[in-house]
Amino acid sequence: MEISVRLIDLTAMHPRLLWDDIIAATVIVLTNTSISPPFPFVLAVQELPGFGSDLLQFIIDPIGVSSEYVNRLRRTYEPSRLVELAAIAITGLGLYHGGGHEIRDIALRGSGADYLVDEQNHLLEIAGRSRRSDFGVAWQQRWQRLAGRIDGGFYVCVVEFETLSGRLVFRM
Amino acid sequence: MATARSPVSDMLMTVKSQELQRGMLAEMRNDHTGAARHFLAVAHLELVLADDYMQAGQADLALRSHLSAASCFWRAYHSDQARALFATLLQQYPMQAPIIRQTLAELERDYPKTDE
Repeated sequence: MEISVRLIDLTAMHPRLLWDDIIAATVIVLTNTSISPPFPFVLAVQELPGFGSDLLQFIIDPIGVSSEYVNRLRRTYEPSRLVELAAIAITGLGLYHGGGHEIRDIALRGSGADYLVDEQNHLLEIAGRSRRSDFGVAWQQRWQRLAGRIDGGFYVCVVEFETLSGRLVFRM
Repeated sequence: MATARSPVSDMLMTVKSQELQRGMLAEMRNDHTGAARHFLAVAHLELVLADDYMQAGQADLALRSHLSAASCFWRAYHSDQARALFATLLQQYPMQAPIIRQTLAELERDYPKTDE
């Protein structure tokens, strides 16, 4: 399923979070791939509540993001942090277009996850990698960590910015 | 017709979440002073939320807010206040002692310098 999206719309998709830095970081990371905008990104989603499984082929438009702000942010965060932030944006797009799910809060420290999704407070763990080769290990670590600790449902999303792809899975 | 009011303020929860996010972003920028300021704000907001959850009979969410408050006091370099809150929680929630101790242990490991 091909979906055209604007990064700035994340503020409406997940209105409880702050998105300025995350959106600008995403523009930096996607621009570093040398691909001209709009940026393609393929996210495989599996078993999302109310949606199911599909291949979400995003066409990501960075319109509306201040280049001045982007340049300032480029000097503020280390590259690995920018990738972490960009992964949050991709996850936010996947959750919204994969069943209308909303990131509502930050997860409790020690829970093994990063965010809480929907009113059910499902845990969400996110990881971003700059290289495709690091994807598998990152996925296994996140999945096993949550699967071993959580009784209820949880989401794991891992994305990589070499081939611009990722995976978002829900497990009840 | 009167509408039902939630005993827990949605606006307060949103402000708390965004302050927590500001603290985490400041940490990512290595702005420790800024991060501490935001975490201290979150700690106090979580204490208010915990009380609201208790009054609403939502003990599990009250514990979550209390744990978050203690964690944020710790990350704001108020470790004495954090330890006192952890001690109180261990008395109030003896059945939840493992998660309370685990949270404290992770803070001691990840944030060893917590002098005020």
